[in-house]
Amino acid sequence: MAWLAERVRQVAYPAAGVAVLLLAWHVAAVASWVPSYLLPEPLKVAASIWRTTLDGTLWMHLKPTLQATVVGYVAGSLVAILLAALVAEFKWVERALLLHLLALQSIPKVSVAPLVFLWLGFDIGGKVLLVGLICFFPVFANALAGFRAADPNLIDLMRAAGAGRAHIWWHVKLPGAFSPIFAGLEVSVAFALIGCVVMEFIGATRGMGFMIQDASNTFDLALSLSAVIILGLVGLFGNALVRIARARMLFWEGDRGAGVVGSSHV
Amino acid sequence: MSSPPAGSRQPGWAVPESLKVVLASAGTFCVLLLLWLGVIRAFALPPEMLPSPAAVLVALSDGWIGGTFWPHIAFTVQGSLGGWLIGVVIGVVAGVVVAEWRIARQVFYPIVIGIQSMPTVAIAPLIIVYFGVGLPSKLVTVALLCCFPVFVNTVAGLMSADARLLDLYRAASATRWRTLLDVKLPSAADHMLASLQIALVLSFIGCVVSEFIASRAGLGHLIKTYSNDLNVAVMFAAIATLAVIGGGLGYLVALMRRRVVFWGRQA
Repeated sequence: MAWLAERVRQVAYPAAGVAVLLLAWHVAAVASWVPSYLLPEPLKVAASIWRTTLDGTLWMHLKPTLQATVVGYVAGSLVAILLAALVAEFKWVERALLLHLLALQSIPKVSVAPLVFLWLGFDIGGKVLLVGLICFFPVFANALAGFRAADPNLIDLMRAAGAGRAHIWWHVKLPGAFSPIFAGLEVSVAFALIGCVVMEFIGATRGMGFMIQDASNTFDLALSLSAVIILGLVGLFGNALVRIARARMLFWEGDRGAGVVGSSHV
Repeated sequence: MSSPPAGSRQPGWAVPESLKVVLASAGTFCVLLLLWLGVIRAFALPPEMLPSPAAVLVALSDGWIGGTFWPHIAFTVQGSLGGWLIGVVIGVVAGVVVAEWRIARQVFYPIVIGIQSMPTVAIAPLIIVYFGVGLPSKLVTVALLCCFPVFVNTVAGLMSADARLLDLYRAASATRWRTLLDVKLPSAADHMLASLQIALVLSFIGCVVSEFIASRAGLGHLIKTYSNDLNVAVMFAAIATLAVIGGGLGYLVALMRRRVVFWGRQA
């Protein structure tokens, strides 16, 4: 029973914490220490989430954000894994590209958003590009480290048994790099959403970023906060999905829990 | 006729790896430059779509030597570094308090881990409503973004302290404060300094995004303004400037990490 009590505590304590924070927010709003148009009560925010869910405006804004985020995230991660494999596998690719990639990495990726907007407009293409760009580096850096850390003994063994380069890559190096790749994928979820939302801040007529900014401009802070909260929940959900996929594929490692040291390779 | 002994390679002819890297990188650079020029020529792109490299250089020299960038650089650095500092202090203090107090740790640590998977910067427009378009809104946005990873890593680092060493200190009836200073903080140092790097990256994201939304100065503001004017050369120059500042500061923090945690693993 001890493990059950522990499990209950793990859920109940944070839940109680969130409840207390909500209560404090409610008290602060009702006591009108700040004008109510600046700090709407939690119930008003909940009501606004409920209303926008029913009349479909929430889905209207959520759908384009989800689409662009998922497509950009998958595309950016795949390109990152592929490029990391090439850099790890071929010395001349590393020599030719690695310095440039390091230089690109030091650009705050969101700063190119207006440029992307200028080139690709506010269709899904621009959002996918920025999301992909922002997801690329955490996955690339982790995948590269993973490919490089492949067990040389195992590779020698495979080579002695006559395995070719592609065979070794597929059966030794790629599975060996899964763990760091997933660490990168986990970090990238929040960054993917950031990329999409920032594009929608720059210019959009739909999307969660647009919803937040539009509501803020018209001082409908209850609506704006609901959009922020929904986006946060999307981030939590996406992160949980990646962790479930990780636990499935790396079943021998189990669920480590959420990553602690985030990636600085952003 | 004596042939050279087998296996002896002339050391004078071996091209050092660093030279190969420089040559290959320079090669890529030239290819990219030619590609850039070629694309402009082939598609007859106007400068408001893709400026020539020369135009970007002119914009860079106008900005740096002519001095038009300086006030914006100063604003963005103030917003990013100032907010970073505030966020780091909040994150470390809250992290130490929470790690030392078991109930608080069980309540808040999972909450903050959850917040880390959320796109926090989405709240930037609201912060501008609260704090206006000036520097304060940038400081608050950046501090908010920075404090969470620092908090999480501080708590995780403090909890990673060697249990045997903690037992030893307890057996010697060391005070809580002594244990914190001697055992826990040194073992948390690597985690904490790693989080400073992450926070620095986030600080520039936060500041630039806040400047995109509403601002009167800053490199993000500059990029946004010139995108309305279709002056892409200045946008390129401002983005490059951001990269240099962000990369330079990131390098300094990485250097500090290596100096401080000289015993730590190289991560």
